[in-house]
Amino acid sequence: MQFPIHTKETAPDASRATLATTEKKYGFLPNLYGVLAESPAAVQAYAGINKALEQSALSPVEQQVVTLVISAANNCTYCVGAHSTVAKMVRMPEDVLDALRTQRPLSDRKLNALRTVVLSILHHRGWVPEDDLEFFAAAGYEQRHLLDVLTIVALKTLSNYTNHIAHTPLDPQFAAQAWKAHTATGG
Amino acid sequence: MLHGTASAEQENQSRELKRGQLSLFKEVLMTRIAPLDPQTTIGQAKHLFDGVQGKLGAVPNLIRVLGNAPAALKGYLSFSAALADGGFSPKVREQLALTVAETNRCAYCLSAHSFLGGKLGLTQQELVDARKATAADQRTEAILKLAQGIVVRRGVLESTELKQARQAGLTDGEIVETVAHVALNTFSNYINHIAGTVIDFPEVSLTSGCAASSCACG
Repeated sequence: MQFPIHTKETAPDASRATLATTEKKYGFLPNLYGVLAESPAAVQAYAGINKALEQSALSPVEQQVVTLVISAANNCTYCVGAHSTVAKMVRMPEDVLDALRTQRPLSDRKLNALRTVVLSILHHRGWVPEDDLEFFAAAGYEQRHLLDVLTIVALKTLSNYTNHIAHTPLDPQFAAQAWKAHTATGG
Repeated sequence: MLHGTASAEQENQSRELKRGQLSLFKEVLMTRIAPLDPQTTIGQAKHLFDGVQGKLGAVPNLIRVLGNAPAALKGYLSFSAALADGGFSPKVREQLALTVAETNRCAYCLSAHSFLGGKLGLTQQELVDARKATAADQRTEAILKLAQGIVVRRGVLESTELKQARQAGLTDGEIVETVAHVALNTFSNYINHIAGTVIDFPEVSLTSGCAASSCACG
């Protein structure tokens, strides 16, 4: 059974304003939002966290690193495709994006520490060993960065899992960055 | 260190760094994440704390911890507010929180949501049942079972699980909203694991041991 993918014309009334704002922001309405819109609360929640992250202590590139590490580890093909596109928009270096898409360590020490703590959070379901927190702090990150990482984990848990359940098709606008899982990780 | 994620060279680098900065780490992160004191907090966090105080009559330690990061605090509160306006009743939302907290082994969240659920009128039995993803009401139980499956299998459900949810009468919107509740509670569960948040509700302990089928600890 297919989940509906709404437009701002077909969505429940309470979701329409969020969809209109999103469409304006991206120039089109990504299918994920169309799926979430069936629950006005879910689409509002997703948009709300995205908005809050504009104040993040993590740079736009760092935020996309976190997003792509989570989405690849969760094998979310939709999210990796979409966020590879966003990563290019925020000018993530090509070699970083390539390593993230092939799930390899990053040559940039700081970004790799970010990648490592994200993988640890997912792998240990939040019970991050002290060694991993130390490694993260040694790279120059602080507590507020860690809290922001967890905020993105929440955001991506919503989108990755929704896409798993709804099998959201990748939008044509993201097709150039279509992704297939290389190795099974997470779990 | 998570095995297989960093090269040997990077591990060496990390060890070197560790030696130099270990004492600093102990202060910064090993104390975990300190809650802010609402009395001395200023600016946006203060404003958001006041909102929580108005609603709950207190600012729980989880929120005080989140105060260290404006984006995280705002993100959590907006997430929570959006779902409060959603399709599930306040009681079902507390039952969902208990199911996810037990599955993720979060004693802080179990304590908080047992207290909040009790205040809403959930009985002791209903609170205990929710932790096991069961409920007397069949539809509620279907929501809880779906949430538990989503957590344990990280969103990759077995083919029967979605079918069962739909047979119990859950709509597509309710299924999506259940995922959102899993995400919100995963957020608070993980923050508490990492921050070591001190429990400021009547304490409820985790059930000892766990069944592989219903627990996410393995």
